[in-house]
Amino acid sequence: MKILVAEDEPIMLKTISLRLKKDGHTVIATDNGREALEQIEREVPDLIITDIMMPYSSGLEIVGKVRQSRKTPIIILSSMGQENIVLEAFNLGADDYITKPFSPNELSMRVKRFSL
Amino acid sequence: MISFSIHILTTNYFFAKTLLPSRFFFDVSFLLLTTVMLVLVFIVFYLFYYLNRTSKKTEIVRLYSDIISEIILCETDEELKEVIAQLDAQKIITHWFAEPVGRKILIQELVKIHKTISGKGADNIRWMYEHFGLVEDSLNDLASHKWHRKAVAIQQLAEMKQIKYLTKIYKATNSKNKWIRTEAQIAVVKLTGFKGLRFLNIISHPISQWQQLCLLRELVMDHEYSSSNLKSWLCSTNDSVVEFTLRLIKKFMCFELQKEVVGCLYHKADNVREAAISTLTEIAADETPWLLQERFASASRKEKLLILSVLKERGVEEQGSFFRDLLCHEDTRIKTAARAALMRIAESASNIYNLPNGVEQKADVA
Repeated sequence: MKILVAEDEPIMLKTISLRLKKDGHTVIATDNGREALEQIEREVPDLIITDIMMPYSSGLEIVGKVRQSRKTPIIILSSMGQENIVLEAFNLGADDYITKPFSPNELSMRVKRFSL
Repeated sequence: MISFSIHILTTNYFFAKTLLPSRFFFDVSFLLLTTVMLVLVFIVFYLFYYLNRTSKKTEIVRLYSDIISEIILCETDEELKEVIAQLDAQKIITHWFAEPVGRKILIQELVKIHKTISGKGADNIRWMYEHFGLVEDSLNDLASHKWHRKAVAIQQLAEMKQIKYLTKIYKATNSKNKWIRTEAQIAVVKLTGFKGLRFLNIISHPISQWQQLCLLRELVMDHEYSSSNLKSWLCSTNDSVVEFTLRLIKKFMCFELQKEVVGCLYHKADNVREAAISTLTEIAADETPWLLQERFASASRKEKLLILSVLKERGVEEQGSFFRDLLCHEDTRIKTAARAALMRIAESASNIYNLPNGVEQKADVA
C-alpha cells in the first residue's frame, strides 16, 4: 500500500515511516501540510496518516481539502486533550484517529485494517 | 530598524546643531554614528551565530533521528544490540555522543519523543537514556546551582521514569525557587501518583492555580486513586493546600468527605470558600441545598453567585420561596441567577411557580 505520512516531528516521522516500511508499505514522508497536499495530488496515496498541528496547513485542512475530491482513508494523529479537534476531523471526513502517546505496533495494526 | 536609526540621527542632528557649540557638533555626531554602527554589527553577528547554531542542531537531530527510530522499533534485546553495534561504526554519531552539546540535544530529543511513544518503544527510549549514561548528565544538572538547569533535570528524570532518584527530587518540592518547586511537585506525582502528594504535608509555599491544574491533570492520567490523607490536608495551615484538596475531592468525587467540605464553607480564605461551594456541586447530599441556602446570607457577592449556580443544578422544589425572594434583589446578576435557578427547579418539578407581578419582566430586562 502507498501511504503518505505527514508529521512535523522528525524522529516521529522517521519512526512511523520505518515501521510502515518494515510492514511492506511504500511510504511518502513529509514534514509540513503544504507539501503533504502537493504529494497527495502527485502521488495519489492509498492511505493518509497526518498529525493535526503542522506548519503551513494543519491536519484538519488536509482532511477538508482531500475530501473535496477523494475518498482516500485518513488516520489522524492527535495529542491528549485534542478531543474537540478529533471530532471536527471526523466531521470533515477522517476515518480513524490515534492519540499520542501510541505504540508503533498499534499504528501498524490500524493501518492493516485499511489494507484488507 | 534602519529607518528608526535615520530618524534618531536626523533628530539629533537638528537638536545638536541648535544646542551644542559648533566645536562639539562633529564629535557628538561621530559618537552617535559609531554607536549605531556597533549595534548593527552586533545584530548581524548574533543573527549569524543564531542561524549557525540552529542549522548545527538540525543536522545533529537528523543524525540522531535514524538511530533513535531504529531503537524505538526494536522488539528484542538482540535487535537492540545489533543497532548499537551499527552505531559504534558510525564515527560522526559517536563523536556527537561524546560532546556536551550533542548529549544535551540527545536528551532533549529522547524526552520529547518519549512523550509521544508508548509500549515497548517507550521502554527502548528509557533504555537508551540509561545505556548512554545520560542519567548522569541529568543528575549533574540536578546538582547545579542554576535554577533553570535544575528544573530541566527534574523534568528529564521524571519523564524517563527514574524512580530511584525520587528522594533527590522530593527534596526540591519545597524549594525556595518557584520553577524548581513546581517541576519537582509534578515529577513526584508523575513518578508515584497519589503517594507523591505527601509533599502537601510539608509545603510552606502557596500552590498556584495553574500548578493545581497541572497536578490534577497528572493525577487523572494513569494513577490509582487513594484518599488516605485528604482529611488532614483539609486542616492545613497553607490555604492553597486546602484549596487543592477540595479540587481533588471534587475530581474524584469523595462523598465520604462531604461533612468536612461543608466545614470549609466558613474558611477564612476566599479561594477556599469558593472551592468548597464548587466541590459541593459534585458531592451533594440531600441536605447540601439547605446548607448552601444557610450560607448564602453571610456570603460575598462572588460566593452568592456561585451558590446560586450550584443550586441551579442541585436546588430542590421546597427552596422556591428562597429564590422568589431573591427576584427582588438589588443586584441584577443575583436576580438573574435566582431566576435561572427558579426556572430550572420549576422545570424539573414540572411545576410552574406563581411569580410576583412584573418580576419576570423585570428579570428579562436585566
